[in-house]
Amino acid sequence: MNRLFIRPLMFCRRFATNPEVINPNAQQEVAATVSSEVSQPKNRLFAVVYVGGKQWKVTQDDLIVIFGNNPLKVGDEIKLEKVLMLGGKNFSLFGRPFLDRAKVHVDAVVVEKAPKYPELLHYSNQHYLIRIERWLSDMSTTLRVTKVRADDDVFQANTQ
Amino acid sequence: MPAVYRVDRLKQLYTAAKSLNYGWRFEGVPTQPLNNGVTRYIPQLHRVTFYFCKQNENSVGMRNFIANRLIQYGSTHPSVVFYVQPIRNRSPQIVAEYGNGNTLKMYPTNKNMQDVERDVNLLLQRSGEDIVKLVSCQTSKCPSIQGQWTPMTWQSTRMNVAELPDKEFSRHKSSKMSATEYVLQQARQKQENTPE
Repeated sequence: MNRLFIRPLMFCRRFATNPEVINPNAQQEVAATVSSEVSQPKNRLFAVVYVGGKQWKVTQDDLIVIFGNNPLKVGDEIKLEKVLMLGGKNFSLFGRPFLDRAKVHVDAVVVEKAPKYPELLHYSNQHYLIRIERWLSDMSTTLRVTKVRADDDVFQANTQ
Repeated sequence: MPAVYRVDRLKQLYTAAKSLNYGWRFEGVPTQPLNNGVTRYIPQLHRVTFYFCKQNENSVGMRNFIANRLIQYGSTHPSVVFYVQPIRNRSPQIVAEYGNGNTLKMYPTNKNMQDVERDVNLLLQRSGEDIVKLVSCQTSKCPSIQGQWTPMTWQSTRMNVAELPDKEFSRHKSSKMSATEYVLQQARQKQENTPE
């Protein structure tokens, strides 16, 4: 396992090109554009967040359902901190891999916790009289995304 | 469900419609009653009724729950009304009524206090919506902000007025360098490097 995967990854990291600023004026222009887009509350933003082992593209008032047991209670207000990407109508910001969690605010509220719709797992072997039926269910948590916002200096925080 | 629906009263119509819809609502997407959580979270459970028997052995867990836990639940959930109904020789039942008109029932027969408590917790966490097989795990009022991508999204608009087949637009695009391009590039580099 180690020989197969981790060593090549280390080499990748070593030979990866470090980011360098070629044109600082263009960078400042982009920063100004992003901050003007972000500062207006009328502009709807979206974010790609990592919740429950999945990546979700969410905007305000979205409902997402995550499965499995978690320590959340109904009515809890949570902040989704693993933000991979933030986008608006005219810009997209990508994290390496995550954006600065102090600058991007993706809030959610736990709306419901309910068992999942049961699924039937059915084993059968035709030659032998083996028939096993299992009704599988899991706990599901429904989150309502209440806010997707970012501070004005999110671009600068991302580039540093 | 009656064979012929009585529609002379509003309540009959309402209950008939509820049972009508329930039969084939198996699949769906995540929903919440009245856009719950958009402004703030509003608890959807309104009232819980406990039916049990004071003597029968199959209500023992329910009786223990009522004796030991119910006051605590009432104080921690001020928006929920808890009713207790002792009925002789009756198996225990928990009936929960939600804001959207749905009623959920649980039958903790021969269960201990911890299991009854777990059932009550499950009912308190529900929103009253039916449990359906989810076609999608996400619902969004605004599915795309930057617009859906199509193959023509970033194409040059000069293609609209060009007469096709055009030499520029017929060129094969590839990320790999062709042999001709490689030779031309080598020749160009050699020309640049040679001192005049």
